[in-house]
Amino acid sequence: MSIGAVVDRPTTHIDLSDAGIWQRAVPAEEFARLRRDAPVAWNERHDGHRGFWAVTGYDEVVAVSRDTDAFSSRDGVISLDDFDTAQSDARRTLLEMDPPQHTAMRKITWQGFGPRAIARLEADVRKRTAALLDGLVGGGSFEAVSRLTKQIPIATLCGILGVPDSRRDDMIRWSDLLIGSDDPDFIDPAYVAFPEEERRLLPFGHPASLDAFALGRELAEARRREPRDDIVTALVRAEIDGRPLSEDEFLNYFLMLVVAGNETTRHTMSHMLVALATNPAEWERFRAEGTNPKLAVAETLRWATPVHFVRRIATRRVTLANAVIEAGDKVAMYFASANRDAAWFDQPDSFCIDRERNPHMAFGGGGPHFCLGNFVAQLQLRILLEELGPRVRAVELDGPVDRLRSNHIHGIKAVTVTLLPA
Amino acid sequence: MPRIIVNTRKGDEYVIDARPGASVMEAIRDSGIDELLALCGGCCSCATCHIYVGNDRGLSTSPMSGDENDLLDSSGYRTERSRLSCQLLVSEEMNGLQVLIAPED
Repeated sequence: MSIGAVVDRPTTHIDLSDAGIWQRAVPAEEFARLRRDAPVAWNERHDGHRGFWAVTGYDEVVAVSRDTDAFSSRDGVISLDDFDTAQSDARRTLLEMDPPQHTAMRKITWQGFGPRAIARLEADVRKRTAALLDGLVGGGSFEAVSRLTKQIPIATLCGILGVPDSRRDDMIRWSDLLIGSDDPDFIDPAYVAFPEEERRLLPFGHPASLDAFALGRELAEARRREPRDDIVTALVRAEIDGRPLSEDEFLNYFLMLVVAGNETTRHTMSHMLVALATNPAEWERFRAEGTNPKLAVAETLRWATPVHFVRRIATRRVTLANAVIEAGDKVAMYFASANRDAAWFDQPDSFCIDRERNPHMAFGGGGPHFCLGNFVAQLQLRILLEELGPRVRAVELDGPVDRLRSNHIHGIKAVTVTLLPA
Repeated sequence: MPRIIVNTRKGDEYVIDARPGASVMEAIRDSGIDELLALCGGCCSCATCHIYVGNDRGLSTSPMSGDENDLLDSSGYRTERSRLSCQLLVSEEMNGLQVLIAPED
C-alpha cells in the first residue's frame, strides 16, 4: 500500500484562506515569521480545496509576478479556491490571461487609463472631492465610507466608463456583493435562491454579475449607435485578431473594470482616514511641512495594500526560496506581507507620510499585470489629501473600524469619523 | 563595459557602467539611481521608465515598437527624443549614450 511521498516543506501556522482571520486584522506576526523563516510556505486547506503556496517575501513576490512563463494567470487569479477550466473560461478577463493575449486585451484600454487621459480628469475630481468635504468638515461625526470614500471613486469610474450617474448606486451595490461574497453583511436575499451549479460559471461566482452584464449590454448598444470618448466605446470598437470582442469578452472586461476601479480606491481612502486619525503627528507634519503629496499617496497605498494577494499557477517545477513548487500548484503572492518587508522599507510597520524610499506593491509586484488603473487611483488619492490639507486640522475616529470579511480585499465596510476644521 | 551618461530630474549627472544584454532601465536602476519607477518591471506595460535620449548611440538595434509608441503617447511629456528605457537593449555600441530621465506623469 502506498501512502504517498512524505514531503518536508515549510508551512504556514494559520490558514490564510480563512476570511475570518483577515476580518480581525492582517496577520502581521505570522507574516513576519514567514518572511524570516519561510518566504515561500505551503498553506494546507481543509475544506476540499487543494492547498497553495503563500509567497510572503518581497523578492520572491517580484520573482513570481514578473515570470509569466513559469507562473500563469490563466486558471484563477483572485481566489485561493480550485477552479476548473470551465469556470475559468466563463469568468476570464484581462486578469486571467497571459501574454500575448493579455497584452492585446490590455492595449484596448491603456490609453484611456494612461497618464495623459487621467490628467484631464483632475479638475472634475477636485471639484467633486471639495464639494463632498465642504459638506462634512466641521459637521460632526459621520460614517465616512457611505458619505465620502464610496462616492469619489464611483463618480470617477462612471465618467471613465461612460455609465450614467443614475446607475451609480447599482454599480456600488454590485461591486459590494461581488467582493463581499464571504461577508454575511453582503448577502442579498434576492440572489439566495440562485442555483449553485449556475453560480460556478459566473464571474465572482455571484449572480449580481448578471445585473451588471445587463447594464454593460445596454451601454454597448448605445455606444455602437452613438460613440463617445469613453472606455465602453473603446471596448465596442476594439478588434482582437481582426475581429471584434465577443459578447462574453466585452461583458467580463466591463465587469472587471466596474469592480477593480471602485472597491480598491474606496478602501484605500478609508484606510487613509484611519491612518491619519491614528497617526496625528504625521498629519500635522504633512500640513506644516508641505510634504510632497505624491509621497503621502505612495505611503497610503503601501499602508492600505487594498489587495491582500493575487495568485498564479505554476506551469512547471520551480524552486523558489528553497521551496519546490510543482507544476499545477497554486501560488499566492501576498502584497500584504511584501509591503512590510524590512529589507525594502525602513520601519515597515510605521505609517511615515513622507517616506522617501517606497517601492510599494499596492499595484502588484511588477510584470504585465501591473494595475491598469494606477494613475486614476493615485490621482484621486492625491486630490483627497490635497483637499483635506487646508480644511482639516485633525481626523478623529468615533468608533471601531468595521472590516470586510474577505481573504482577498482589505476592505472597510464602515468607519465613523469627525473631521475637525482647520 | 559600455558607459551611459544619465542626467536625473534633480539635475545630477552620473556615468554608469551598463551590462550588455540588460536594458537601459535595468542599468539605471542597478546603478542606484532611484528616479525610474519602472512599475511593470520592464515589459513595456506602464510607461514609467520614460527617458529622453540625447544622442543615437547604440539605438539602431532597439527600434521603437508599436506598443512602445502607443504607451509613450499616453504620457503628457512625450517629445521626439522620448523612449521607454526598458525597451533599449544595452550593447557595446551604446558607449557614450546620453539620457535624461523624463518628468513623472
